[in-house]
Amino acid sequence: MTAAPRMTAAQPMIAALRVAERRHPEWWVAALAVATWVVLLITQLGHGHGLGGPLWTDPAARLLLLAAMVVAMMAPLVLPTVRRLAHASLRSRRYRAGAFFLAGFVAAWIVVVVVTDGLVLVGSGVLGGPVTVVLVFAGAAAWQYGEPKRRALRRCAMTVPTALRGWRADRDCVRFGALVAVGCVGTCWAIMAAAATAGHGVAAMAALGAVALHERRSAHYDPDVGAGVLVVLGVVLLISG
Amino acid sequence: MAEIVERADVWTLHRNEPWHPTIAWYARAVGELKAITDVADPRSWRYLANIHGTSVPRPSWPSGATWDACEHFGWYFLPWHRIYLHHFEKIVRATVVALGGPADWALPYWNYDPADPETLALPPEFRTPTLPGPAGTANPLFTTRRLNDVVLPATEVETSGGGGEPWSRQFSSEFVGRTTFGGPVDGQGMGQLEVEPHGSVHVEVGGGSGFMSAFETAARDPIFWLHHSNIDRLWEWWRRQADDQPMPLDDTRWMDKEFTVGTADAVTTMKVREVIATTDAPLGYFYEGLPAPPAPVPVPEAVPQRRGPELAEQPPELVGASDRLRMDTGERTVRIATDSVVERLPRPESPGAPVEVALVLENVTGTDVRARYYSVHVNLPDGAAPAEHADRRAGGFSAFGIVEASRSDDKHSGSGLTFTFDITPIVGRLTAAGEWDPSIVQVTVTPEAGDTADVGDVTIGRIGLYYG
Repeated sequence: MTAAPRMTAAQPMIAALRVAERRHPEWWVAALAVATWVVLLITQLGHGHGLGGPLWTDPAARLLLLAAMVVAMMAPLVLPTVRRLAHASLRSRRYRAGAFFLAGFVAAWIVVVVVTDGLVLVGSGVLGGPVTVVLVFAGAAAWQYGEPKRRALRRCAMTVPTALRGWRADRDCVRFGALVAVGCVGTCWAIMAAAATAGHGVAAMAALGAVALHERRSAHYDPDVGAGVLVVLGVVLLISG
Repeated sequence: MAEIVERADVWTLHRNEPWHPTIAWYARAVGELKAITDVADPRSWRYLANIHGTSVPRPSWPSGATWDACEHFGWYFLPWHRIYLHHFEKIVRATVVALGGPADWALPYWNYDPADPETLALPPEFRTPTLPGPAGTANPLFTTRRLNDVVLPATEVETSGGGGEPWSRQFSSEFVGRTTFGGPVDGQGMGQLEVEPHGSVHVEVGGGSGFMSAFETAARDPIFWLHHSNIDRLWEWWRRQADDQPMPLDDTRWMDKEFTVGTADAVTTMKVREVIATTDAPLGYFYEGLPAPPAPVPVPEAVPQRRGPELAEQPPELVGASDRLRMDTGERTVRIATDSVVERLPRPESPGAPVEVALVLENVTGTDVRARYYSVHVNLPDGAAPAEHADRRAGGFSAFGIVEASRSDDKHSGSGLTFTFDITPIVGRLTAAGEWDPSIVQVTVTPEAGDTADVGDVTIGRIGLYYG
């Protein structure tokens, strides 16, 4: 007679994890964003930086910092999109689809933040820090109220059809990520410019990232929230010098 | 007014008495509201219609206007329109009372019932250009901006879920590939009721360029309100079909969502949780003669049983998909070869397998949409006419909303529309007949109304096959 299989204590937990993984195949993007925040925090605390001040001046290191900023601040915004894309992909391609999407998304964003960062650096050199802070933060706050911002917010929720498998599927996912990034840039370029003006300080990035996340998750877009945070942050930066 | 009012079937009212007082008072009130020429007046006909949609640029709106606010493509569609109707009904009732009419006046509904073919036409009171009587006064319920002689195709107004199959027991879902009654959570698709009869009645009545065919003008047609009253009634009917009909009553994202309709002293602000039960204050209405639940259809042994709400929490699995499909040559057929993953999944033809098979038409876009309606069939025999194979009809969708959803603006992402059809019973029937090959599925999309030869630039981004 064959003995009945014995269930180990871990089996229910494994089954629950399996269910959670199927429901949330975007979990790794959230984990990546959290890890990036932790690394940024440790790095900046280690260097004694708080709210502002350029951290690294070496171009390669600065590029790394900008990439980290994109992943930390922008990746959480596309969690629902990665989830939907994964569920609309073959099971064998779920993580691959998300990875190619994120690659396209982050690559498009990096181009934008490099240009923005350069403009802010030039602006600070020509106009001086305080004037740049006033211009960028006031402009970013005003942007919150414009029609283009509302339109861009809708574009963030866009979907595009992707091929089922093969290189065409990879290409479609990269393209999808880049297209979402275009909408995302329209929504968040002002916020990212403010983060650059704040010297990529973790506290400023966290506050601005929270604004971006709030705008995406809220049932109704309220421009006062983002504008208010931007004004307060700008004033704090001016006072702290 | 009475505490609870009754919304009546407009065709029943007409049959009891042409120009029944309920319809006559509606006509008089509409005439009064249309006579308000100040569009900034929240009681004016144009203001009320603009709440649903408008092409007036936002900077030109009156101060505080809540225009262009209609909720479509998702789980807020039904509650938002219920609030909108309630707001409209309050204003019309107040106007009726001011004109000396009854305080318990209530908005009728247009029950286009395929079992009663006469009701597939517009109620006669909406078709005549003049009011009864010698003076020949213009009828406020009449407009030339609709197909006044329309007879709604029975297949497009089936109150069952399309394809003759039952409506989904799911109100909403977070997942692609899951059919829902009320619409998906993420606003990237439509619930079954929103697709048809809602969308199909809009475009059949509106025709090519009538008021009802576009979001921006739909509510300017007096029949719009009776059509949506019926959609609201069908929600109530669905809700009553079973005690455990799953509404997302514990989901605060839905229940606590608040909408404001109107402005100044003519404003209605309500949360979704306040409009679940129509007989409760502040709504306070019920529908005359809600039909009894449909009799259960005998299920062949080979047809899989549908999943209960608890299993529906799992995402369906994509097993195959087509390439992009341009609908520029009329009827189109695609063959979807399924992935090998289908061999590892519970087979839908297995008796008792808890599997739902869904067909998802993703990212349906177009800027020049000439056909009004499309039907979708599965595994039609070669050369067969779709109309002769109702048993293989997955469902259908109207062109309503395609142009709007293809635009990138502050209300739409530009991704187009997504339609989900439950083809589980078709798979069951084909299996029973020995005609189901799980490795390949053939899908035929047919334009059925309007210009069916030159259908413009409608494109289906992908047709996906999901096992759930």
